[in-house]
Amino acid sequence: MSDALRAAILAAADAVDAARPELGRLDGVAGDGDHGMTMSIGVRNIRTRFAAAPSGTSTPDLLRDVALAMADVGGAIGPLYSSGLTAMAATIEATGSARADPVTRLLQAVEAAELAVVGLGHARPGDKTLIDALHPMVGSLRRAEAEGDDLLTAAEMAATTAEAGAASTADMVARVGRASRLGERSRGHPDAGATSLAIIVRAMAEACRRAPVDDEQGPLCVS
Amino acid sequence: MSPISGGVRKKLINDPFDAVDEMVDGFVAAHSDIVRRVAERVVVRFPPDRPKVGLVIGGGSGHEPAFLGYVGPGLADAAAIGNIFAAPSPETCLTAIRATSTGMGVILVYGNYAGDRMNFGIAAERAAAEGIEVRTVLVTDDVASAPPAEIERRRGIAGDIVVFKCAGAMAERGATLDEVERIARAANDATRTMGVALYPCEVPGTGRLSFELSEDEIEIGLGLHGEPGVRRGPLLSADETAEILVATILADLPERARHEVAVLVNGLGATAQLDLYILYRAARRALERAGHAVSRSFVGDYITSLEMAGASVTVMCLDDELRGLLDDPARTARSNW
Repeated sequence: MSDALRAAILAAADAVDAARPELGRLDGVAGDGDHGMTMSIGVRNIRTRFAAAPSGTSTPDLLRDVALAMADVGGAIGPLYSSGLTAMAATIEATGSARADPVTRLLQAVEAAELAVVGLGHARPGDKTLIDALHPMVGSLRRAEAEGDDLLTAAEMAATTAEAGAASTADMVARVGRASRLGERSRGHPDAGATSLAIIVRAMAEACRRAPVDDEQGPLCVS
Repeated sequence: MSPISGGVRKKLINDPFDAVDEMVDGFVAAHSDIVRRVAERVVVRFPPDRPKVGLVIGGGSGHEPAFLGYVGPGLADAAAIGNIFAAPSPETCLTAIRATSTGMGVILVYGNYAGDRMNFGIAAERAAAEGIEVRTVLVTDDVASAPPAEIERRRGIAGDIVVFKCAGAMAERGATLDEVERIARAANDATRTMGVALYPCEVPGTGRLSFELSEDEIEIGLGLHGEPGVRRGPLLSADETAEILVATILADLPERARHEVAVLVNGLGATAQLDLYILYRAARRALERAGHAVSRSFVGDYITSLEMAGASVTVMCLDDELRGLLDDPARTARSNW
């Protein structure tokens, strides 16, 4: 059952809306200033699709709904989220029958997302993009898995790591994407795409913590 | 409650989330003699009377009359329309490709931005899988956006328009996909642009200006979406500004021989035509002083940045072929060809 995942995604959608002015401001420093509005259009698309998706829709199907909603946004962020979420859906589907540890399954899904996003956008850590939030998050989940942490702990750590990764982009100089034209002038402000990803992960981790205790798989990792 | 409360610029819009769709509604209603809408965000010309190479252009909204204003006989067959300053989705691009395919292939010509490359790129792959031959030419005319050694990283700005025009005219003549691609590349290679911004714009819904510039400052090389430029400095006269823009362009052209050139002075949305003609006058003088002959000129708001104030100068080196293509007739909503 993925109703808890749906709730977590909708919580992330609300967080994105609340951050719209700040995301626009950050994007305006180095780019065209549309990131807050573009993400808000994306979460509106998600709410519309979710309203039509029946309760009990599987996790891969929900993730594919979100992927389609983000693809419809266009821009640079649309295809990146769309490809990452599509890869997550496929990975979760492929591991769905295995009784794997939920942290392992979350890790595998997020690893697949990173691979897909890098494959499309060609950014590397340090380029001042959302990869600088996503990549450390994968490392954090890997450590959580190695240490046998439970899902809530892993999600909490992932959110904290993503936030630290997003904050670290303030000291970076953009090398890819629209902001890259700026060179040194991009230094001093965090990347808008890394910031919005950290906001999303934090909102989902918090929703995860609020989720009913009997949902033992947790909202982030269900079949 | 007003849906536009919180904005810093006065705008004649309704809900910011509806702005693009309502603009397209208005556009297709106003120009129903030239275009029709085949999807929410795809505008196409009326079908040609014979098969031809399809020319698909597009990009984010907020640049009107670009891109949908360049759809029509002699120019683009379709425009894929994105959200404000955001590339159109893969589905939108694919719909545009399918709608313009008449068996001779489709060429995509758009400005070089990461988002546009991803979305049009995904659509091109899917179209190819459906058996449509697709070529892509990226417009990279903005001198300010990367040094000559990294010319392929440059973004596309007002030079879009003359590249679209040449490619569109070539396709209209019945040329093959190879020939249209060759012309689009030649037109892009021959074209350089430098811009200057005076005042920022506000993307609807963001509640903030796209950048900040004090009353006595200008920014040279600023992008078509308010991306910061290369240099900020005190406000200069039209003549001084034109000198800087033209000198930067000429220094960037591969060969310094005497050229016949076309000049496009483009307004960004909130700069008076009066200013644009004064800028054109100065740019033309600077070009002629450098030994260039200006044989074709375009002055006006060809590709804008909402209500940004500022302008750009585009120089296109002409030969008989490109001049002829610029001169070919075209009938589009932005119609003064």
